[in-house]
Amino acid sequence: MRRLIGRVFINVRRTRSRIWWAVRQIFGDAAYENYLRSVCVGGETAPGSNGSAPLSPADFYLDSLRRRYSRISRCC
Amino acid sequence: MKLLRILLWAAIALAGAAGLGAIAFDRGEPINATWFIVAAACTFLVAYRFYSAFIAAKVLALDPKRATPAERLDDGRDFVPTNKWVLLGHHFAAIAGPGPLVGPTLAAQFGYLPGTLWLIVGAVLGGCVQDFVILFCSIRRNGKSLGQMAREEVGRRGGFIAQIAVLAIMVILLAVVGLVVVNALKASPWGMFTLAMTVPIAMLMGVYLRYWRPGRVLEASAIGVALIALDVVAGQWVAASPSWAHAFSLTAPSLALALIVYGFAASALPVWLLLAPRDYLSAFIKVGAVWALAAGILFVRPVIQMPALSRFTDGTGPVFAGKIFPFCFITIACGAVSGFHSLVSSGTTPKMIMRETHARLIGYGAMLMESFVGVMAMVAACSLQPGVYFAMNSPPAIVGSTVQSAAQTISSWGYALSPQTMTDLAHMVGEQTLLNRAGGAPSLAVGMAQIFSHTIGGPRLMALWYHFAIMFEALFILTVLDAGTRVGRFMVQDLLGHVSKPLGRAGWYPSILFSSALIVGAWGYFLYQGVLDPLGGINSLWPLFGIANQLLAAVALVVATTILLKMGKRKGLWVTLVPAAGLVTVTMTASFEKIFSADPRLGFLAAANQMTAQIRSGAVSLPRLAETSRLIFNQRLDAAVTAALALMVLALVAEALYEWIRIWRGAKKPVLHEAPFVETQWAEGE
Repeated sequence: MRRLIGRVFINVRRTRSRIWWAVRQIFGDAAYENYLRSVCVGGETAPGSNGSAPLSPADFYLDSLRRRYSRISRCC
Repeated sequence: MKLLRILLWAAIALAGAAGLGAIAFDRGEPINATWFIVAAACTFLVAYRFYSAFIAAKVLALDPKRATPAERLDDGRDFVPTNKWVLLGHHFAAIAGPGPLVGPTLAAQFGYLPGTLWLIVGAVLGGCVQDFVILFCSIRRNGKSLGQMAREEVGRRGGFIAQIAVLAIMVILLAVVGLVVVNALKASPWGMFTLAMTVPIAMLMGVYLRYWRPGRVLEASAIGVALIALDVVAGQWVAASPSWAHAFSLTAPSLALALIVYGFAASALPVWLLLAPRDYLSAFIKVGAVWALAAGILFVRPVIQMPALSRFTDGTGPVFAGKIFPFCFITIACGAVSGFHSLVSSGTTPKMIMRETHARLIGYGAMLMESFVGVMAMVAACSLQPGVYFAMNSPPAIVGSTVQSAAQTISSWGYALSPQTMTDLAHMVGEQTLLNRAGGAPSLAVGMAQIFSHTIGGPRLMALWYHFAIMFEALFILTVLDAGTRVGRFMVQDLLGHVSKPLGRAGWYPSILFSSALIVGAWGYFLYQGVLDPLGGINSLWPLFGIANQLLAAVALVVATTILLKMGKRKGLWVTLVPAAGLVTVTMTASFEKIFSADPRLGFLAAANQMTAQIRSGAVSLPRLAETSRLIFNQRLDAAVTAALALMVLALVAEALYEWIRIWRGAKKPVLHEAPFVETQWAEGE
């Protein structure tokens, strides 16, 4: 019984963290972490890094806004 | 197991057929909204399972081994490999704007049946196919835009036409959504206060996201949503205070001018200060309200009060003029087929997709979800008494501006309405009047408020729910207005760059101000003319928007057909060719009628000629002479815009036809401009 409750508890926690992960991804909260991961995987030769150090969170935020709102990103 | 699957899908198909049968063959007896949900959900499930699978496997031959641009060009900024469910959420949030809410509400003047059937059939055979195929084409071309694909695959003229069509649609779209906001908020202190307060709330969020916690979108949005909830509640105290109510009661022309000034500011201000935080706020509230509406409809299961077919299928409708064909198909663009979606499908989404096979879920699936939102809007609008619906959406030139005259006129059409009903309803939702609020937003808000108040709070909370719904609609209409004005500014700067290089520099402040003024001036002009239009503005502007949007869809489907032909998919051409032919027929018929119809309510030129004759005969008094002359000019301008759009698309279709015939006959070797095949390095299921 205790093992069953423990398993249920683990599943609930796993589901909760998955939902939280999806919400953060969909609403753009995790964009900077994704960017860092992308730059780190490719190192300084990654296409986004341009051979320089990664952008700071504030610079990345401004850069992503500039990109998003200079083209059609919302429909009617 | 296989037998079980077959039985399950047969049951879903039968349930869908029963739902469609119930809403199509019902005559006279009240029908429950559940049938709409069953019909739409089951049809969409079957369409996704079988039709989209057929297109994916047999027509497009999606290749899971082919590396997508997100894998090959991953830079963590534009090209970002994204989980398919997350990308579905992104794509849906991008394509679902106010269109699928407003269009079906307006089309309800024909009754519930034509609009509902068009939403379901149009999405399955047209809109979803367009989004899916264009997404696929863009993935194969490193995320190129529709204009670039048109230029490369159809011809140089195709690219230019697509660019001009996009700019024209943008201008008309911004004007018409602005008009919807004006009609919803005129003389409404509660609504006006609520919306006005979203500006400082968004700015506070902007400062939080820029300086305090960069990029922490969820935190900032949670603060914003809490403040918005307070804001909606506080609106009633403003409305109850005579001096505050007076300050926030604006006439339609004043409200239009305020919107124009706001649009200019939103375009010229830094994007982090107002536009981006408002967009986050709007996305949160949009997703929440749509889910709440779906849950509310399932919980309340409202009875549909609108007849299946109203008497206005003959084209004499008070909301907008024109017969069921072609105007039902023009009025509902977003929710069935929307050309604007092709810009998102060839914008950010193809750069983020991890596998080609995900295009089916994201392209086809997201559009089905949007169509479902449209069906819910139709249910909310049709659950109102028909008399109330027409009183809210008819202009004063037709039903008068008092509850007595409106009740008398609408009752004479066969839709019983007492003056007291309108007075009581306005009182219940905390407004002075609900008459003459053409645009769909207020009638949808009343429908939503009725559904929500049946779920939580009862009639006591009706006013709060109404203003929440109005705020929700106006908030994301303003997001479209902000973002559209800004993108329009970039397009204008791009065009001006051909004339003068400094004016083409996106970051040069004089150029920002000049191009912002040009784009705001363009949509502001159409908005203002709509506000002054005695027939309510929606009558001329919404069909114009629908025509422009559907013409862009025709452009997208023509480009898609050309690419399929070049890929050698002759047997699968009908998948895009049939909806393209349908849209060209519908839009050309509508364009012709809007320009040349002899009915002055329908035809732009007939209306101009009628007013000219009135001036010549002396029927127009001297003080109204200038206003009438301006109305004549506006009608002719609308005719010229419609004709220009139709001619441009005809030119593109002619160019594409010439190309198709030459390829079909073997007179020209088809050249595809796809990126070369690179095998994916990702394992299956990664």
